[in-house]
Amino acid sequence: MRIFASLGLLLIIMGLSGGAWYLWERWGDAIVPAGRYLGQIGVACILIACLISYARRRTLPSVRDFLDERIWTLGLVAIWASDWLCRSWGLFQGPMIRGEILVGMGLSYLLLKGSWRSFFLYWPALVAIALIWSFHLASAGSLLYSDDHAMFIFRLHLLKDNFPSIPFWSPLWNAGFDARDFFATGSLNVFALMAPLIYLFPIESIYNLIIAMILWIVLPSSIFMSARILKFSPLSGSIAATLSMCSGLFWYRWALKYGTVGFILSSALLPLCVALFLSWISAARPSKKLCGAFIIIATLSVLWSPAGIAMAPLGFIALPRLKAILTSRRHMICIALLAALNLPWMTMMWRVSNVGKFLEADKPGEIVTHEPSQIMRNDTSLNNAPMQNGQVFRHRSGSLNLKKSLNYWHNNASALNPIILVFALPALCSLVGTIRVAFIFVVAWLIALGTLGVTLKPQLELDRMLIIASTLLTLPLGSYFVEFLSKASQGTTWRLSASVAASFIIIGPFSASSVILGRSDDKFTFQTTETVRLRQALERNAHGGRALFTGCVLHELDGGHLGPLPIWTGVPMVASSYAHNIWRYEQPIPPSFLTRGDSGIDEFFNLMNASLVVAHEPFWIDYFRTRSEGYIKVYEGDKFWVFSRPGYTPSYVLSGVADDVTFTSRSVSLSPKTSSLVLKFKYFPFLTSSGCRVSPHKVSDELQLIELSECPIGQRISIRSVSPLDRLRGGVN
Amino acid sequence: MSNRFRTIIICVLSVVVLLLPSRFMESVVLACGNTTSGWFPMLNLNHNAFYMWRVDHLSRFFIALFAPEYSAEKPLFRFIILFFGTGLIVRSFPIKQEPRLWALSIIPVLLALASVGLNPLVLGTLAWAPITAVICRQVLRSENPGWWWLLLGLVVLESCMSANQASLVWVAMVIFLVITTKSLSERSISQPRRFKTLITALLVPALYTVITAPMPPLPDIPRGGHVIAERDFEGSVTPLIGPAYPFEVLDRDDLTKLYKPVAHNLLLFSLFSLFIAHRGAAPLTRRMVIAATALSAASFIDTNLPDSWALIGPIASVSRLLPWGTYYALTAISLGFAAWLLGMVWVAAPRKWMAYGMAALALYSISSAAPTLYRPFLQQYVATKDMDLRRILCSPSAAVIRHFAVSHPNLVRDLSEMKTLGRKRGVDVTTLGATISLSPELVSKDFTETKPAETYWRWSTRRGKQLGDEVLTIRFPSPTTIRGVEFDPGNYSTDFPRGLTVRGGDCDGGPTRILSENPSWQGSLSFTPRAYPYLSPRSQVRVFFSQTETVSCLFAHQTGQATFDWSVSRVRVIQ
Repeated sequence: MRIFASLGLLLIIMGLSGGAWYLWERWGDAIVPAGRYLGQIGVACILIACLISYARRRTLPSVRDFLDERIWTLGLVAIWASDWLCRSWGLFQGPMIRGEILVGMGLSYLLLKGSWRSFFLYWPALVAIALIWSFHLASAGSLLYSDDHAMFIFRLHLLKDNFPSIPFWSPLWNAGFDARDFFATGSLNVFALMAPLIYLFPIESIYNLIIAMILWIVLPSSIFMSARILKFSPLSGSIAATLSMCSGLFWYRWALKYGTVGFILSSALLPLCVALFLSWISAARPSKKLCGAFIIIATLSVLWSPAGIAMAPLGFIALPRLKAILTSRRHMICIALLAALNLPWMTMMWRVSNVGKFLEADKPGEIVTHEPSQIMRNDTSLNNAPMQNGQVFRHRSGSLNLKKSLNYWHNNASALNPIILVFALPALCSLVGTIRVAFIFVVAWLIALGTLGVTLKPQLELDRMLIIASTLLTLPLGSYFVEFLSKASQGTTWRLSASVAASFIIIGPFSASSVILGRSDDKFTFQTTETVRLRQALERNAHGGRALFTGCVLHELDGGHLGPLPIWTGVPMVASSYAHNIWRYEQPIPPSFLTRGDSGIDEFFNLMNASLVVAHEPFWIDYFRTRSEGYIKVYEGDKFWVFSRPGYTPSYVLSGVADDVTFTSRSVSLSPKTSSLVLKFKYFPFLTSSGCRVSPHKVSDELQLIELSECPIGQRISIRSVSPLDRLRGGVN
Repeated sequence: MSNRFRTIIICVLSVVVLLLPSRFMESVVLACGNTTSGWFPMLNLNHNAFYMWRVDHLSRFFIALFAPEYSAEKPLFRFIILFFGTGLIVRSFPIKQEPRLWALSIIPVLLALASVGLNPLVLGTLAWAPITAVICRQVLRSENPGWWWLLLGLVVLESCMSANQASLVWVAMVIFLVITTKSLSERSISQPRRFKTLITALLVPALYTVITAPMPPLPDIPRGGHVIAERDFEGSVTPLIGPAYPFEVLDRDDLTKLYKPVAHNLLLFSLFSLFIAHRGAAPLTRRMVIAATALSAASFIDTNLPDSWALIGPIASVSRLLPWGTYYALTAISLGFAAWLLGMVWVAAPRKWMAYGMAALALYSISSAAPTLYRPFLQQYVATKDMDLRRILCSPSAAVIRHFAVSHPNLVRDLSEMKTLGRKRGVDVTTLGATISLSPELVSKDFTETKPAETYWRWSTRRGKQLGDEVLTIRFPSPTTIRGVEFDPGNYSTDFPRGLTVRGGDCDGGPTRILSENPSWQGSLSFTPRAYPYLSPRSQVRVFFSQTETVSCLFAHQTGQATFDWSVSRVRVIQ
């Protein structure tokens, strides 16, 4: 009866996760054409189990009847023998990995004879060292630069110079921008945790170290401590810590390829946050140490704001203890401190980042920007161009769609460590009491968000919730496997099953190592000499003006964004996007200038004080090359060409006179020679000046510059944002 | 004559007997650069394993004493170390203490030597393992192990310099020997803390050695180029941990051919010994023969099964789990250790006639199986005064020389000429007035957009596969002198021939001669800017003849099998 019950549930899980199944490799006819067939067989098995149980015991099967570890191990065997390991985007990249799994099984079989406890106790330490070494090998001394890592480096620079006065206005990009994305991106948690390193050393020299510390010291330590707080054994904590470092391919995709460092740190701390929360609510009078730890970890976690959504079910878990909490002085002080720490920045974020508008941004209303070649040819097809159906994000917007949700689940399931996929449910069911309820609720909520929620709110990129779920699941899995492996002494079948499971714990880190070394389908990039040469070219040739990147630039610079270039070169710049905030073609020259052809483009370049223009698209390269009287090539790299504008004299002043214009990351200073000036910086309503009156000067429908009036002549003035408190109070955004 | 004196005499004689065979064997590796200090590149001349290596301090001292005849590639000092280590373990077997025990100790060493030849990798890894295991036993059983810890530390440091990148394999050997021989010690291993400290003392220096081992200098072969045969199966074979070379270096084809008979014979002897050992043998012997059988079986899987199975076999899998494992030949270490273990089993056998008989039989069968183990093909070029050739032999490009020298006996002599030829552009045969036909023929006409637009003929059978019966005939209007021919697949880069034999002669149906034969097409011989040979991507089909040929007709026979057409867009001759 246990066999049928366990097998039935296993088949349902595999059916939901796997789609079509082939034997050994993806050739010929599928042995299971679709997952639903497995699901149907699974349901039948469960019905048989129910019948048998009722016939024998006059009762339905208990939870334990569904959890026979030897049957669930067959899931791993099926994964080994099928095409699963040959699918794209898997952590275990087959088909060769089958050999390593067999070796792991052999080693486990020998270890389970006696010394497996010592081995797995020290295994995570060895794994962490090995993975840090792999990362060091992969980097070969170069800076991690893939995708948003470039932006994180930029944000850390801005925070280093300006914290705690955030948000603020910065002149470094696009003639001035509102530097406020620290809240939304979670960069504050990284900054807070790594502040000593950031203030003591140059960011470029410690950035790789920061990433390595988060992934292979903070994460396993957090998991281990969570296990101990939940009163699991040290061995459970060690196994959980090992699994956390090889939970899936997508963990490393988000950490190393996409560079969403705030999310990664938050995910690493969330299990600890859950453990501390459960401990905190169940304590009659939590200790100061517990309160302090809970406040710090919870704050660091929710500094990446979607973490709050992820942990929402914990509020319901606390409900039964609500009365006790509200009447407990220590608890209330904790809550007050937590609120005092977090409410200010949350309020700030809500105000300045227009969170409400962002949450509604999937609705229709925006028009897409067309490519310049179309506009400049007066492409009449544009007259009937359809309205863009809302702002575009990484995922398409839509309504609740079970089929799409299942597809998201399939993709993520393939990327998971198979041991997490197969044993998640038995591990959750093996927990007891409030811990079981809490974990089941939170994991179910995260899976629902990560599958169903993606299409409803694409702007939130909720598929990341599945990553958090897999990290959280390592905790119950650690405890589960200690019990499972302990049963190896009960007989050969137990020992064989335990060996199969243990082999994935042993080999998983090796697969993670291969991902880190760039030997998987997912690759990430480090800075190359291309960036260094471009930096030098920009620095050498700017001569007091800005560099303007034509066309749409996203990841063309060594696979990352342009963000930190102004910091490194001292040259302010203009680009369609220096961060990852666009999902389709956009370029920096407004249509009203583009439609006027050469003169309009030239005028825009002058308004932006662009002494250098940078091109990487064939259209723009050809455009500048064929206008040699206006543009001279000063640099040609693998991707980017830089042209200077010999006929243009750089000046940040459009009208009036001022000299000695200097920058910091948060202000512009100058000495006005006339009482009224128009500066080539974009106007924002929260700007203020130390000596002049600031107002907008409209140049076109898309562009407003800063107009200064009533300036004291000859006296040095600066332009900067009002203080964060003033922005919060005055609602100036 | 006292027992001790007899023991010394027998030891000396045993060492002489042990060193004798190595006088008639060539080293299987080529050590490059300064071998007496620090790291230097080392290449296995048989299967192209290429890595940095070091000579341990004691060996350097030995070389300094007996130089210049004994070079780093001839690991003779390690024979002596291995012999004494073997003797120390044999002494603890439950048989009568006799001077003959030392004589018996040469059996395992000779077997290891016969299995892998003069291979510093295997001997360097194996040499210190028995002595270290003996010292480890003393550490575990001594009341005051202080001096033993010190001695262990020195031996571990020496061993790591001897085993180098294979240090982790050395650690595994030592742990196995310690656990296997524990039943013979006066006290069993009952001190878990001391045992854990011992493991740490072995592992830490080994890990440090492996992590800090440098990358060897590699030739600047362009992307897509390779030095060994490419394999046609799905999935990549890359190490999961540790550094990776930009192209595959270890020649699995040659490795399997070399060790196949050795693994086969060792497995047979192991299985026979296992059968015998089950009949009342001591636990030590049983464990050793089980281990020998397991290692032989693993080596058999690695060398005798098709790639799709061998690459998920234990040796290939472990090599991907060890840093550097895919670059030195783990198969060789496995065979060497298996042979040594088997020798130990026979030494421990109660019936000495069986031991001597089995050992002699094994030595004979193994040594006659693979002659190139003792005299690699490339050894004939090692003493060259040609610095360019020496430089090439000290790189993975040596594999290219090894393969091409078989079909081009004068390749080594003509390397510069081949380099010049490689740079020559071919002449389209149609401009020479030649006609082309294909059998079986189905010609399709493809337009390619160029400026100005041109029409290309593509010769292809359009059967969707290569069956080995395709013949492309080029008829020149008059006898034409050529040095090579190129078959350009154009845009159909996967439609290159899988096997290609080019024959030339008259067009009147008379006898033709083979100008070039490639049963498995692996790409054209090309050269880097620094003159290292490599193989181009297989879609570049340029065939050079070993000498200039004058022919009226060229017949290109496609002899391979594939699920792709053979397409030829242009034919060019190199003159």
